[in-house]
Amino acid sequence: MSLSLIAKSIKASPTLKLNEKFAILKEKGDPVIHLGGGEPKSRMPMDAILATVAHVNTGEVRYAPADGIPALKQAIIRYTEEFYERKVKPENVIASGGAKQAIMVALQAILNPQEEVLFPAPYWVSYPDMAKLIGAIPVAVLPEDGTFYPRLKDITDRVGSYTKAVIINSPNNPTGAMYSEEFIADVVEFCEKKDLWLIMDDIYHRLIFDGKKPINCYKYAKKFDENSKIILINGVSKQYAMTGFRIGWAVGNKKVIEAMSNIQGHQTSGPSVLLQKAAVAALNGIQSGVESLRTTLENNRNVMIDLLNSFEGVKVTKPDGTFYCLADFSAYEKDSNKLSEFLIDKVQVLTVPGKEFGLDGHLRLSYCGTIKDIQDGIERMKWALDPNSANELYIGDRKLVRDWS
Amino acid sequence: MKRDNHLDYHLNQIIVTNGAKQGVFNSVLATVNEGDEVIIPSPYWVSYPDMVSMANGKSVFIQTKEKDGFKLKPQILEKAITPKTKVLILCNPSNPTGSTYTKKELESLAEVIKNKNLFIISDEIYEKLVYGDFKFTSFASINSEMKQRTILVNGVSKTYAMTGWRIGYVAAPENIVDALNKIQSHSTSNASSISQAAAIEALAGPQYVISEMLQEFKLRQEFFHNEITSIKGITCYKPEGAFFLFPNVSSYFGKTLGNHKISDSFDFAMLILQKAHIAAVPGSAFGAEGFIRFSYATSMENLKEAAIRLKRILVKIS
Ligand SMILES: Cc1ncc(COP(=O)(O)O)c(C=O)c1O
Ligand SMILES: Cc1ncc(COP(=O)(O)O)c(C=O)c1O
Repeated sequence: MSLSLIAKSIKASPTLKLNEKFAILKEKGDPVIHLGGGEPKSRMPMDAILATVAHVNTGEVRYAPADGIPALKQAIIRYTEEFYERKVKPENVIASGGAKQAIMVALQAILNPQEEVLFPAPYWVSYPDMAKLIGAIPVAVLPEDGTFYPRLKDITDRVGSYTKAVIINSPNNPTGAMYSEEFIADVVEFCEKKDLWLIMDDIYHRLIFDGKKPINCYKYAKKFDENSKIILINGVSKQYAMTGFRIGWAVGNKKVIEAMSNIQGHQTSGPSVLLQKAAVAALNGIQSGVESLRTTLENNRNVMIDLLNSFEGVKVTKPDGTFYCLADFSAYEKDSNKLSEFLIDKVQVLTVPGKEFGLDGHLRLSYCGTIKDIQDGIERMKWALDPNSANELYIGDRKLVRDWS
Repeated sequence: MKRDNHLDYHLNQIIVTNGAKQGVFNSVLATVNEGDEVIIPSPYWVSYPDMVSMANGKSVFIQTKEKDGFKLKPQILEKAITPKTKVLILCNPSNPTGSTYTKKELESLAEVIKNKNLFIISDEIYEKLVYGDFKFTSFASINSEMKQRTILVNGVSKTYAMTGWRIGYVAAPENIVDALNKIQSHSTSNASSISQAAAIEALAGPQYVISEMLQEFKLRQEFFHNEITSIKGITCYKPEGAFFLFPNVSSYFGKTLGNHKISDSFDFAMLILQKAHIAAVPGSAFGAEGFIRFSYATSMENLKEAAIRLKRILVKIS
C-alpha cells in the first residue's frame, strides 16, 4: 500500500522543518540565534486581543460560513478600498486559513493538472509545492540580468501555451525586493492581453522602507469586476504580527471566489470564527502598530545590511521591504544547504538555504528579531566563515573553538 | 486515545488539523491517485465524495440497508473490493444515520480487509456520542495490523461542542502522518495556536461534561424517536450514536398535500420546511433516497414543538 503520487512529489516545508530543529536545540538550552524567522516579534494589536477574548467569553464558538463571516468580508472590502481604490462586493472576497490557504485554493480553482504557473525566482518556498499538490507544473524564472528585479521579458520568454497563471510576490520573500511600478504595470497589462490569471501576493505590501509607497496593481488593470483575472492576496500574519491566527484572504472575480469557497468548504470548512473576529478588529482598529513595526524593521534592516556590507566575501542587495534579505555567500560555500547546516551545527545560528527559494549559494537572513540577535548572529557567522578570525569565540560563558578551516 | 481507546501513538504519528474535515481531506489526498477507487458506505457524510473527486479518485458507494442498521456487511464489502480499491472510508458513529459498529462487527470487517491492499480512513468524530451501555470501539484498536492500515480521524467539534475552533486530529503510521504534514504545511500551515491551546484543555480536562451532554441527548433521542415512529408511515432505525435520526419516509412519496406533490426526499424536506418550518436534510444528499435526516442537537422545547407540527401536517397528506 503506497501513498499517492502527490504525497510523494512534495517536500516538507523546509522553513518549518528548520523551525523544528531550532526548537529542539533551544529546548536543550543551547544559545541558538534565529535568523530564519518568518514572523514579526511585535505585539499584536490590542483591538484584536480584546475582540478574541470578548468572543471567547460568549462561550459560543460555532461553525461559520466557509468563505468568511460578513464582518470580516466588510473589513476586507474597506481595506481594499483604502489600499487599492477599488470597491468590491462580498462575493468578490474569501477569508481563508492564512494567505497560504488563499493561494492554495486559488491555484486549485484555476489550474488543471499539467498546466503551468509561472513566478519569478527567488520565490517563496511554498509556490512550487502548492503547484505540485494539484499536479500542475511550477515554472520559476530567474531574472536574466542577475538581479532580484525581474523584467517583463523574463516572464514573456517563458510563457507558453500551457501557462495559465503568474504569481507575483512583491515585496518579495526571500529577497526583500519590491518590484518597480513599471514592472507591475507591465505584468498586469501583459497578463490581461494573454488572458492569464495573475495572483498578486501582497502579504508584505505595507512593510516597506525608504519612503516607498505600496503599489496598487489595479491602477494598471483595464478589465474590471467579472472580467478581472487578478487574484489579490493578503492577510493579517505579517502586518499585524498575527501569524498564529491563520487569517488571510483573496479578492477576485465572483466566479473564481465561488470556486475557491467550494474548495475551501471541503478542505477545512473555513477559518475559525474566533480568529476571524480578531482579524476584523485588527483591520478596523488602531493602525499605529503597523507603522511602528515598519520603522523597527527598517532600522533592523539598516543594521543588518551595514554588518553584511562589512562582511568580506558576502554580497547583498539592500531590501526595499519585508524582513528578509538574501545574501550571496558563494565565495565561502556554493552549496547553501551545506552552509546552513554548518552554521547551525558550529555556531548555532539558524539561516535558511537559498536553494529552497530557487537560488543556491545564498542564505536568507531575517531581521524580524532583535538588534542583538542580528549583531550576535552575524558576528558568529563571520567568526565561523572568515579564515582570519580568532581561534576562539565566547558565547556567554561557553567557549567555541575553531576546529575547521 | 490512550485513555479512551487504549491506543498508543507517538508524537510523530499524530497531526493536528484545521478541523477533522482537513484530516479526512488530506488523508484522501495522501493516499488516492487518479482513478483509484474509494469505498464509501452509503448513506455517507456529504463531503466524502467531493473530497475523493478532488483527488481525482472514484467513489464506489455501497448501499447499506435500514434492516441492517445501515451498517456495512463484510460479505458485501468483500465483493466491492477490486484491485483498484485504495481506501475504505468508515464513518463510525455515522453521520447521517447514527449507526455505530460493535467490536465484533468491526472485527468481521477487518477479517475481510486483512488480505486486501487498502487503507481505512476511520472517521470517529462522533466517538463520544454513543448511548446507554454501548461501548465504542476504534477501528485502529481491532488489532495491530489494522492499526498499521488505519488513518484515524477525530476532533473536538462534536465531543466538546467546539465546532468554531476548527481543531481535528489524525493518528496514523508515521509515513502517512509525514505525508499529511507535508501537504498541510503547504496548504494551510498549522492549525491556529490559540485553538490548539483550547483543544488541549478540552481533551485533558474533566470529562464529566460529556456524560451530562449524553444524558441529555439520550432523552432527546428517545423522545423524538418515539414521536416520529408513532406517525403512520414512518419507520426509523434507533441508532447507538451521534445526534441524528434517519427515518424512512418513502411511504409518503407519490402523495400530495394541496398542490404540493411529494415525489422524493427533497420534496418531503421542502414540504416540512415550508408548511411546518422544520429544517431537515433530504436523504438524497447522503446518497440515500427515501430517508430524511433530523438532528436532535437542539433543545427539548424545539423537539416537542417540531413533533407537534410534524404530526399536524403529515396527517393531512393523502
Ligand atoms: C510570500 C508569502 N506569502 C504568503 C505567506 C503566508 O502567510 P499566512 O501566514 O497568511 O499563511 C507568507 C508567509 O511566510 C509569505 O512569505
Ligand atoms: C462525519 C463527519 N466527519 C467530520 C466532520 C468535520 O468536523 P470538523 O468540524 O472537525 O471539521 C463532520 C462534521 O459535520 C462530520 O459529520
